[in-house]
Amino acid sequence: MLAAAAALLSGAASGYYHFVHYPGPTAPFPPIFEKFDVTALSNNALPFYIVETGPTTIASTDSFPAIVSQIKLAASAWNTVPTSTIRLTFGGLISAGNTVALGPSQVSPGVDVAFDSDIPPGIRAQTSITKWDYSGVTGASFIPILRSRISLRPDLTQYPDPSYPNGTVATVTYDEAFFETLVHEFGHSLGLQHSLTSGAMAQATTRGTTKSHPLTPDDVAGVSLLYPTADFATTTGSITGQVTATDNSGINMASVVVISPNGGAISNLTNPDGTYRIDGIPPGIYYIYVHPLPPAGATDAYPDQILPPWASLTSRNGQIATRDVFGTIFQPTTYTISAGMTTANVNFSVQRKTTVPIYNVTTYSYIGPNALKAAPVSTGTTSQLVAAGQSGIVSSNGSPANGLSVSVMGGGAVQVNPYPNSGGYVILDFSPPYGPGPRHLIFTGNGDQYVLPYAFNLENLPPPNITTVTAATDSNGNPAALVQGTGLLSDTRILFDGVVTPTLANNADGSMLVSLPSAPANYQSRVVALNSDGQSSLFVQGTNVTQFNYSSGAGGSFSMNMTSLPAGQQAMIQIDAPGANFVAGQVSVGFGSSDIVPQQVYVVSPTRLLVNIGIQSQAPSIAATVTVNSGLQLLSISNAFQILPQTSNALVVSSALVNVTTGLSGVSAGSLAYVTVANLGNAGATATVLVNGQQTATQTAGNGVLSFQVPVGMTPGPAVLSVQLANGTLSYPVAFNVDLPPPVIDNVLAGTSGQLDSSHSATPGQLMTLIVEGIQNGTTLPINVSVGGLDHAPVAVLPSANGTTQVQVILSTSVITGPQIPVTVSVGTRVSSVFDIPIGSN
Amino acid sequence: MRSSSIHILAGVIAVFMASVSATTLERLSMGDMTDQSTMIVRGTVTSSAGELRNGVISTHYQFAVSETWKGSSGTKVDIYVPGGTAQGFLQSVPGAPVLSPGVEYVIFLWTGPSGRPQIIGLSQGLFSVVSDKSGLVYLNRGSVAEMMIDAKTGRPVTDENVHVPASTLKSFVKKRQAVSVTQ
Repeated sequence: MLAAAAALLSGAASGYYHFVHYPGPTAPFPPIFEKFDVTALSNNALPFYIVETGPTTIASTDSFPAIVSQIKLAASAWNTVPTSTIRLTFGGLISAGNTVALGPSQVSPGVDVAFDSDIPPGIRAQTSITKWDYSGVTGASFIPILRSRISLRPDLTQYPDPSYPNGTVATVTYDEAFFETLVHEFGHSLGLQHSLTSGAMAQATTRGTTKSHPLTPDDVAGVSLLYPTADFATTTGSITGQVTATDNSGINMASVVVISPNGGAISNLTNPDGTYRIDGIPPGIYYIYVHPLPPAGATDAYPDQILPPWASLTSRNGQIATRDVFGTIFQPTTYTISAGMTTANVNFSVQRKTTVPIYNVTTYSYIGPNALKAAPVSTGTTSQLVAAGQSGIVSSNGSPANGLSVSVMGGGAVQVNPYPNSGGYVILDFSPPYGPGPRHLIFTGNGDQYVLPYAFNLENLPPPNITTVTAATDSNGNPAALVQGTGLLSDTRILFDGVVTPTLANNADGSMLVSLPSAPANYQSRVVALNSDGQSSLFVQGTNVTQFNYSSGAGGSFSMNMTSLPAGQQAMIQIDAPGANFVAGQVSVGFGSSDIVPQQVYVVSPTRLLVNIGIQSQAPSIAATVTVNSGLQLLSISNAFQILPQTSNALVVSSALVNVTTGLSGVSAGSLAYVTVANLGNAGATATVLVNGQQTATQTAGNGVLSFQVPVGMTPGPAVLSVQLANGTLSYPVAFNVDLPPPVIDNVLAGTSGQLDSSHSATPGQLMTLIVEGIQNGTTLPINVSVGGLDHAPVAVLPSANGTTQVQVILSTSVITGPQIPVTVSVGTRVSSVFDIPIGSN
Repeated sequence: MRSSSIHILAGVIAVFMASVSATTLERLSMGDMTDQSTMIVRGTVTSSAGELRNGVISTHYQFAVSETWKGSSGTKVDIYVPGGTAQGFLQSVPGAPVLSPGVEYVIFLWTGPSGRPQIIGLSQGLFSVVSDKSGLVYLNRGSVAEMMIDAKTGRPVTDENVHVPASTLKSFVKKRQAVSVTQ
């Protein structure tokens, strides 16, 4: 049943909870997905923009910077997927006029988040996806999404709800619901449709995600299939088969689900001939089942609002819709999924039916008055859930449906009891005999089954709670905050609105000292704790969240030294913001158009930034909004930057320097570096590279490349580079970083013998210790040791005497042997000189 | 599935829920929809075409009106549903309803700043008109998925399908408007 799969995984490999086209209306059905073209993106970064006018009405406890931070937080959920290459990056605020998907505003892909006044009542959020409606194109491997638009309503405060006496209740954007809605909509914007396995892309009814656990394996597999990393296919497994009716006809759009009783669930929909393929399954043991889509309503376009696949690359041949209904089949056997392998021929023969007895079931648990989705339940105690279903859960008199039984997947009885004082709901009582993690419920009734993945989450600990947040300082006198409460753990993440702030210390009394994000004076931030078990302080506090008031804060304006640039150019822009408090790594600059790509942001001082930008050569001439965002400080100027028409034959200097010695991007004082200059022509021989205005020793390396020496003695940090021709022509400047000097290997010791020399060799498998100068204590940069060209990840990095660092590695058994094997250590892009050691065989 | 009666309608009015959608919806009661609609019409679709305007594609339905329950419509109404194809582009909006030519509907419409009538709540305001064997005319609205328990109070809110006599809903709409005018 297992077959080598790596080859099969190449190319378009899956069915759809994506937007899918087929080459034609008949089998075979190789799916062709709609997705962004990552080759059109800079560093796989897909920019998203937020319309600068913001919502018209927000809760008194909300603010526009806070809402922006929450939207950014939701987008970042998709950036945590290790097997997906695409990264949503904040492109700043955007003028409404520049969000037009099809028109003269911009040619590069992106996502817009807009507060649309024309959105009808009853809609909280809506995503539209725009692409070419290809006509007559054959052989396309995918259909590129040109732009996506997430529309939110402009009034974020009111949540019409007839169960309230006054008909409405104010909502806030720091709660779980707003976040999960945005994660869901960003998933659509990337090319994902609904799935039926309780992940972020499930509808809210069955969704089992939280602010702390925003994605499930189903979401991870879905986005990874569209934008896979090189190792996606080899680190996950697949399962394939066919779903047919008893007359052997294929079942279209059946949902096939692999599920681990105490882990995740991943699903996919069948092709029109019933064939299916589920990719991206983490290795493990799974059950598998197939179930029909919930029935579409009389006026719903499609079941579960999943757009059926198109029978061509255009919309013109229509869609292959389904109304197939059949009985759920849950296979009693398990399947072992292995990395890089496909488990094939897992087939189902289903019985067609006319109705779906049970579907769209939702479960809640309670903490105080708060009803919680992703229902947290304590381990080892008798527990209770409330469940409701669109069908099959209650009878017409409001009591539990006749014959309804419920069990926990993997074992465990559940008692079904009436919900007191109200029809439409049931109480599920049970004593979970398991350890922590997600659990799934199986509902049986009316001769059918319904599986609800992530019906509840078993928790060993109660959720965190925050009681007070007070101003403090860190050991260097920088602003910090002391967070006090209960259940604050070493892996707790603290949010100030939507900004995750670094933890500085977990104190013995259970409190946390955290860094304080930059914010304007008098800013009021809501502080939330997220624990790694999926729970948050919102579980306890609901919308009554602990507040932190900034007594002082950052200033509110900025200026730029350059406000226009021709299309096709690259340049550095200096931004000055008096009163700001910029911190490296916490600042983003956006230019309100996906045709203007910020490449690097250098924090020169707390009030000054240098930003390299590049402008798409086909970019239309528009004025764009510039945004500077640092923590919760959100500064913007409308129409502040103008794209000019492209200038022919102008010098274009790339900010991506290459170290001549290492071949890497890092250069330090005294390094020889390459810089690429477009349109240099024959002028390279007389061109000069200027660094901070000083001439350098420059030579042409041909093909528009100049080599130069970074001036000796330069202070590490940002520097400005430009190129001047003999005729006086001067390029636009670009910024680059002068690194610290490369590390130096002082000595290498091996095993217990210590010193290595001609009579003492290191041997494969030994612990080897490098004594290195130039590694900053606590550096977060990746450290690597190369031995004979073979990379070795350190097993320990320890501070040592005289400011040196011990870097310990286990010498690989594959390492080459000899009397002089070269060893280097790298810290980020800084690479040491070679240190030769003898290596003998065991 | 539950069916209709005037009693059920009362329940529907109280706890009417949003339909499913890739769009994130919030539930609107029948009262909400009546109050917030700018026009409620009954009729049939006569034609449809994608239309590109300011870079956004809508499917433009021409709707022949047989009855107007609220607002002033004339004999024809232009209805715009987000998404569609136009001028070589395809814009997908999962959850956007598709209206079928020749099928009779009652539609709760809302006109925003653009001046283009849209269906309230994506498909919440869209009802198909059907007749039973006795000739009684009913309005159907799809089954509903946005099952919710109120997150703040924990109060459960149930869902009902909508399958009501057209005359009952029409009467409700008229009374609701009368109350609104009186207040």
